[in-house]
Amino acid sequence: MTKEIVKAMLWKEWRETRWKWLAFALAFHIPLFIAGLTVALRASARFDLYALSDSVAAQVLEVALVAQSVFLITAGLFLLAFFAVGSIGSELDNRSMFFLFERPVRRWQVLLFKYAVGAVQTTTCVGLSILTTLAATYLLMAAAATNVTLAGSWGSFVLIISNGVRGTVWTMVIALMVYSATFLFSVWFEKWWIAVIAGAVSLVGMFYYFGGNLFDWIISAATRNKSGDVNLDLYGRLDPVPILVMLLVSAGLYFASQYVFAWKEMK
Amino acid sequence: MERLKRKSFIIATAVVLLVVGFVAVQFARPTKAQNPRLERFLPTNAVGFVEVNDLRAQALKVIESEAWREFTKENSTASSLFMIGANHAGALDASYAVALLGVENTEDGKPEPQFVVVAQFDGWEARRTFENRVLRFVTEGQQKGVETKTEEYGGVKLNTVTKEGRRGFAYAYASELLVVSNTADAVKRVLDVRAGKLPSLETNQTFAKARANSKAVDGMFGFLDGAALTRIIDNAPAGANEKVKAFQQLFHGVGAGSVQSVAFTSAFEDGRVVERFSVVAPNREGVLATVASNPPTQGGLLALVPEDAVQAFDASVANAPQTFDQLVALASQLTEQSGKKGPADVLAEFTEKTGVDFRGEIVGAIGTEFCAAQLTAGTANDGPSGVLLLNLKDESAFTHALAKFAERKGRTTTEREYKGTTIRRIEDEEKHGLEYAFVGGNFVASGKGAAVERVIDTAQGGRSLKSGAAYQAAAAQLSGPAQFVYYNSNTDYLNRLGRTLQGGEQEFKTEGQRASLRPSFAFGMTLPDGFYVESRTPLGTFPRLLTAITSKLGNEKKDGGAE
Repeated sequence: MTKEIVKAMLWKEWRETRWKWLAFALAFHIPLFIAGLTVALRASARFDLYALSDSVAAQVLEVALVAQSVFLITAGLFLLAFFAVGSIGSELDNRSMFFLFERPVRRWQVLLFKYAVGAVQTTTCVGLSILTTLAATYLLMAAAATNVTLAGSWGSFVLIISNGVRGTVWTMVIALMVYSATFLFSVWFEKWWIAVIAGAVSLVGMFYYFGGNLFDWIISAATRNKSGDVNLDLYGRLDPVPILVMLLVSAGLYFASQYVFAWKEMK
Repeated sequence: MERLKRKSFIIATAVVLLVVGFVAVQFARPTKAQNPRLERFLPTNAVGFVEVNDLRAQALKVIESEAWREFTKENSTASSLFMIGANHAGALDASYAVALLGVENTEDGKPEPQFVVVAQFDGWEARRTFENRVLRFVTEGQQKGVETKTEEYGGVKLNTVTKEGRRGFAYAYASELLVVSNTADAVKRVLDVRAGKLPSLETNQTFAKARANSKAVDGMFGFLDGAALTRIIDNAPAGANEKVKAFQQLFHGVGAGSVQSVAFTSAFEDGRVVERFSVVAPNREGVLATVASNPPTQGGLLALVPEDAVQAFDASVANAPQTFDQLVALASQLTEQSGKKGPADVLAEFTEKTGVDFRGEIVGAIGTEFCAAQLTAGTANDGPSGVLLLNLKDESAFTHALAKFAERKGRTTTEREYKGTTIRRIEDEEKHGLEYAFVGGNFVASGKGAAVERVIDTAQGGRSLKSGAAYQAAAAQLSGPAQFVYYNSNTDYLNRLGRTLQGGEQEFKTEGQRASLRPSFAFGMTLPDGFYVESRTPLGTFPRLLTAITSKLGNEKKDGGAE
């Protein structure tokens, strides 16, 4: 496989999915949009925003961090499943996949590119949304609130965003695992809606068995018995064991996808 | 170009434009509370009212004010949470007016003032929130002997609340308007004005003139109809009631009956609050006329106050003897009728005890100007000290009177020299005393000798408040010769603000805060048709207003457990 083919494959995948990716990137900021609409339409919410000061701005950023993290490990994972489910199934459904098979690339290489581009897109969507949400919240406060100054709140912003990076790592790893599982269903089932149902069922199963763990790893320790406050030190503390396990599961799911794809009978 | 013709693109653009338009309309449309003119709902013969326009807008201006910004630097969390607490107390989305409609006789013939509170809410939701949080005690009190009787009046439900058979208050809702009064009759009058059955205060010419002359339209506005007030007092059934008769005499004696109207405005300008009082009284009578004919203060005593004074009040007292005589005559007239001890007796007793003729030797010796100032602490271990400066017409008579007073009272008088000026100290047995000196024909006195010394220093070439840049800048707002001026450097303002707001859930600093706020300044002057008082302060009365809302309504909410 030449460098040109790699570039062409990557370009093809990017071109096909860029608008979908942008839409999902926006969708991962739904809590921010809800907050924005509330501020725009409700005078009392705008008043709260104007009344903020440097120290309270830090608390708002902490709340934004927790809210976005909760969104990502609940509704966000379902969104992600919707994104991943169209990776292969739609191309099998509309038979455009057969066009690729006529190119000088192997079947596993086609799947590898699709997986790699999709994985990068989903994990960046998820992980960066924490940082972008925090940045947007900070800029909004600095612009609107009379008593929030860049000089006075910059330290808090840096502190929270640097702690938020741990949440980014966690949510990216979880997102990769969910993406890999849904990718497998996308390869397995030609009809996209069957893959969606399979993905949703598996997500519900994951929440049933591991939902508590997801919250414990990222949020609970930082918020439990804190009377509404957030202990940033305990937010998303990195634990290598579950992270490695999830990465291994993701790798296993990817190879399972390759196996299913290699043996899949396509007409 | 083809891309722009796509159906989806056109639909998306239309949706975006609709959303932007909706948000723009939300921002641009003035709410009912923003444009209230609550006088529309008050009867034309209302005696007076005070209105607060759009409390939320006022609270926002407090946040943006110079003082609150400084205060927030020192009390970052508490100031934010205080404002957020006020926001969620449920009372900001409205304009309010408190009015006195008049005095009516009750069923048993006793005169009763009719007060009414009118609140114009932003909308149904704001009214409902207020009802749930603030008027909740009405429904909660049902089990505690509180009864609510409801009747239909002009298509509106009028509720009369009584407790254990005694009349409490009455209230009614009409769309976004809430009317609360101590009498159902007053609520009915407001509802009649709203329905157009009675003329509103807007049609009152005295009010229209006062409203037109008020320089501000937002913030707070107050109005008092002098003629209506005089009518009420004159028509009060005195009968054999000597107290009523005496009050009527006092009212006219001080000249209050010659006041046509009083108007008050309070608004934010340039990050601080400007409050203005206008008293219209072209044909002044009694004490009011004597005070009005007082010549303006020259501010000469301010040239003796050190530049770094915390605050100073300077007033013209040129007509003090005449005013004193008028007040004594008035008091004599009133006490004669009641058979009680009169002012002449009191003054005679004073002369007997002290050997000082108060009218002749004290009041008669007073010159043209009076000044009271608070000076900054001289040392780190010392607190601020007050000093009194009085211009004298007859220094020797005044000195003689003080000496006689000290002698008769058995006080020790000592003397010391300070930079060529004699400072005397009159001290009692507990070593409490007063130090005084005469500086350029002016009496200077203080509880602390250091304060008198600082005035002497200023008189001998030290920098004075009057020549200081801060005072000059503050006094630039003076629009003519003033009867009195008040200056406050505001160095302690943030601590005072902290103490004002104290008592709620938030902890504010009350000591050790220093900020370079612009000084407060107020002045009062006599005009051909009355009096005018103007003040510029960091926040005016708004902090107290917001404290009342957050502490009272916030506690209601907490106690009630709602929300």
